[in-house]
Amino acid sequence: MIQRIYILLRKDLRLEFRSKTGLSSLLMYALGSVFIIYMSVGEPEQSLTWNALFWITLLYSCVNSVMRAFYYETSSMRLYYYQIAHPQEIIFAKLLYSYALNTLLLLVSFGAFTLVLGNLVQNMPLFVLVSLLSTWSIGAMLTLISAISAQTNNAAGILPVLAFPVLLPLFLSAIKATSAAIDGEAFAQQWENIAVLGLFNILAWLFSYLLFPYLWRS
Amino acid sequence: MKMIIRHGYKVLAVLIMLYVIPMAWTGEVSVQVILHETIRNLYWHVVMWFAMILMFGVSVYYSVSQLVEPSEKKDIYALEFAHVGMMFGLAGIVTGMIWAQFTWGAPWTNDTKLNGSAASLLIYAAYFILRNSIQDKVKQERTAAVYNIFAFVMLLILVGIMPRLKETLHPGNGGNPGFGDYDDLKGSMAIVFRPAVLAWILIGVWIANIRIRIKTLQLKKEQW
Repeated sequence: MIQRIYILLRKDLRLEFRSKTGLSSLLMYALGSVFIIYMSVGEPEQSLTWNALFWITLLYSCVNSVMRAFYYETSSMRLYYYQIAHPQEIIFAKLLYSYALNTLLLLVSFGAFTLVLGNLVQNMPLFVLVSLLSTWSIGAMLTLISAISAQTNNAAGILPVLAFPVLLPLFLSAIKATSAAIDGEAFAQQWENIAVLGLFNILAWLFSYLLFPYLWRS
Repeated sequence: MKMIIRHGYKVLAVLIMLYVIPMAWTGEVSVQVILHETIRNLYWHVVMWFAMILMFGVSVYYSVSQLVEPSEKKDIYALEFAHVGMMFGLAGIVTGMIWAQFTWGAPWTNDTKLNGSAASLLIYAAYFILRNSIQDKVKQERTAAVYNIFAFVMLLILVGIMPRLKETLHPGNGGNPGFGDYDDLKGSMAIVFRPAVLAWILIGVWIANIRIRIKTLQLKKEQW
């Protein structure tokens, strides 16, 4: 099973790198928004502004990246995967793929923010932990929702409708925890937010494991 | 006998409501600082959420059994119980906003439980949108069932678990004392509160029952 997940994941990553437009458009998106922020606000002095802008940039690049998970697969391709792998293996590969892509996006946006807008983070380990956990849970939840919305006739339109309410509480925790990390608070004060973000990750995997086979059957 | 089972619960609901409504306005309550007489809203606001959770619970039960063994009937049951649950949820939000206006000073605060309940009602609103955006009948029933299970678990987490982890203004969560501790009149509120829960649940079942029958007839007409 692990081997097949690995093969599927490698296939997804290869496809991504082979079509240079996909990845470069995502990077372009992240860098473009950082540049626009720089031109409009300059270097933000307040940590709150920095944090808000950072998450807005990250949210849209994550949504853009994960939306593609099931979007570009035609029904004949799905039939082919259906024959060679279990549905759980397919969704797990997609989840790992979203983790990889979102980690990359996080690195790029954080790098661009540090370069262009300055780095205001005081408690770096906490910031890294929280932002990784949140981008991963965003990626995992969006992958699941994208699988659901792929069933509809209007996947691109329905995805934001389904995703927004789910991402809302997730972002609340993410923003609170990163803003605490920027202000240099200790780990101990933020454990609830870290727990919530971890919980969302576990949930997404659990949902995928239990429910995806039913979505896949069509 | 059949008549009694069919209509008995409706009569029971009406009778209990006839007892609950005057008792809610005039009964003896435990008057607290800040809360004062607004504690009477307990009979409305809290009851709405109890009824909502139960309605969504019934809905998700039909969705699970829909995935195990698909049938059109289960889909209608799941949909209509979700509708009634949504109604209770909105009523819960409105009664909560009125209460918050008089106790916390504003109808909406940036509270974990408020945000959680708003988000979970939006998740359920998306359930109805999702259903309408799938034309194929079999696919619609299955996808809706999958999403309904997802929505219910999210609801439990957002309203049940997250407020306990974080700070909130609500009693009984985040280290605040629950309302059970306030009832120092030894059950004079409980004898109104508990029947109220039962009555609203029965009314919910009643509404759902009517809606299910309408929907079934509509489908029959379409297929005919």
